[in-house]
Amino acid sequence: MTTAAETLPSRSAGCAWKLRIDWPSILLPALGFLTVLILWQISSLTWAKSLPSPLKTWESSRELIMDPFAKRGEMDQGILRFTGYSIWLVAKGYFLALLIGTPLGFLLGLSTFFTKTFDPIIQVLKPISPLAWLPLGLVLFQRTEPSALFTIAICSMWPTVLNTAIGVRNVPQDYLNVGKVLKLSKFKLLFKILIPATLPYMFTGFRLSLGIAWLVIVAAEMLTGAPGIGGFLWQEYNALIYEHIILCIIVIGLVGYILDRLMMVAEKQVTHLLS
Amino acid sequence: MSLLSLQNISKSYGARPVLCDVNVTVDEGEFVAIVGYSGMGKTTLMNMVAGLVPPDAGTVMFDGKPVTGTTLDRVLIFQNYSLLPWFSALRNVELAVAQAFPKFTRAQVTAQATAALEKVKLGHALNRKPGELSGGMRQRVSLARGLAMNPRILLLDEPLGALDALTRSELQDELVRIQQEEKCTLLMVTNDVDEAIIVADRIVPLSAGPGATLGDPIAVTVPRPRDRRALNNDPAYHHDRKTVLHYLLSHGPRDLKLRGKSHTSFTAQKPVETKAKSLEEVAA
Repeated sequence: MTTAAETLPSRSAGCAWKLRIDWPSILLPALGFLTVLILWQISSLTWAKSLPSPLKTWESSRELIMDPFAKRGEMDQGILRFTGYSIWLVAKGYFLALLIGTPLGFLLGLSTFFTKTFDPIIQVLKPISPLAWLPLGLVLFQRTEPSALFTIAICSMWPTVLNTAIGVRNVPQDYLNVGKVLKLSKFKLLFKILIPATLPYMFTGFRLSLGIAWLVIVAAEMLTGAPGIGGFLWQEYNALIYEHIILCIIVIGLVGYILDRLMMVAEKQVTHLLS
Repeated sequence: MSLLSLQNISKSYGARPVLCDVNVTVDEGEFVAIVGYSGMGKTTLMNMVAGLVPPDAGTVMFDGKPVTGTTLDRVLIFQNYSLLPWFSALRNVELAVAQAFPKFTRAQVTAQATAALEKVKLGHALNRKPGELSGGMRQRVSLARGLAMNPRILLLDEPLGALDALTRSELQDELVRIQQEEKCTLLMVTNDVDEAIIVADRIVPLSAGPGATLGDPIAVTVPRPRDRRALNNDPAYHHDRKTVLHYLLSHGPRDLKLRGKSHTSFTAQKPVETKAKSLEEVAA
């Protein structure tokens, strides 16, 4: 026993030390970024003369990055201020999607009648691009913001709907039997058993939906010209400032990545809490 | 009149008969154990008594009335505990108490749930989640959940089947103690003859399927309190054991080929899974 007690701490300490200098997981991603940077540099020097080089992009974007919350005019603002507008719009459309999508998912999961009735139409609506929905939104609502919200909501709610439905269908029979033996009312069954048991699936849906919502916002702003990261990108394209296009692309990617990571953490927390 | 009686119960899954012409009665305050082979319809039988599954033929009579669904005075303790993992031990029991006693105040519900958990010696683990409890402790919570509802009969579906031998014998003694104290009526199924002799007043052997049926009840002659250590020197114990084993062995699995085949038809959940998978792909 004593030998085991003595060796255990040193072994775990060794593991921790090893983790701290896990070179491959630091160096390999850095190598990946470097490769793309080099290819970008080479491209801008050779076959794509109109592509600004990395250094030129940095110089031209410095003001937007170093003063990220500045507001000099409607379409001349710091990059993070634009991003903030976009995130706020996405948040509204996304919550609309969850508000509609989650109950819809529950109905689909609970009722085969409902599934048979609406599953085919959902499968048809699901692959429609935001670029196709947006004009319809403009026709319906006249103004840009509600039509952008409409587009975000209708494009991003499907993963939430389908994952919630799968979650409800996969609630273990054991828990449903408990509900029957305890004679739980419909209301209690929903809140004490069905929703907690479905939460991990719901959160997977929420995460996928957020990814789509972020994709949609850029497209929506590009079409409507609303102030935001997508709108700014399109304006700078028209103003022939190509460096800013690249800046926008990088920021859009980073924000999407961060949002996904945040949802992943939330998803893990929920799953951990419930198991 | 007995509290519970099963009259000519039959049940089949598809073309496979599981239970055939099952008859048994349980009197008020009695502890009856049904002993039988694994995978031969013991759980199905319990689900029918609980009212989760209707029998194909025959009636389950409880308190003079035919059983048509679950009621709060027939409580089933599940083989796999079936606690809700998102609630603490206390909340799991409270949920049951609140259902069984709708007129209780919040404080009364908590008091009753706490008392039940203390009765199964879990007073120290009230706020732990099922995931933080050992198998034996989980089954104690599950038992407390049933006891706290103060039902007319507790149905125990192989409650100790998944536990190690030591925990198992500990919980057997616990069951006996609680039954003697509370004077409650218990019907338990198990595959362990010794367990049945330790806890039960009467043992009903279940023959092997397909089409399993119950033999004649055997009254346990070992006097209470039954001391596990002295049991081996008790001629009554050997007599009871021999009687039960004799029935089980002479009514053992007849047609092993059919039995193996039927097992595949038991797990009839495949279609649901494939459907879910395809939906998941679509979602991703």
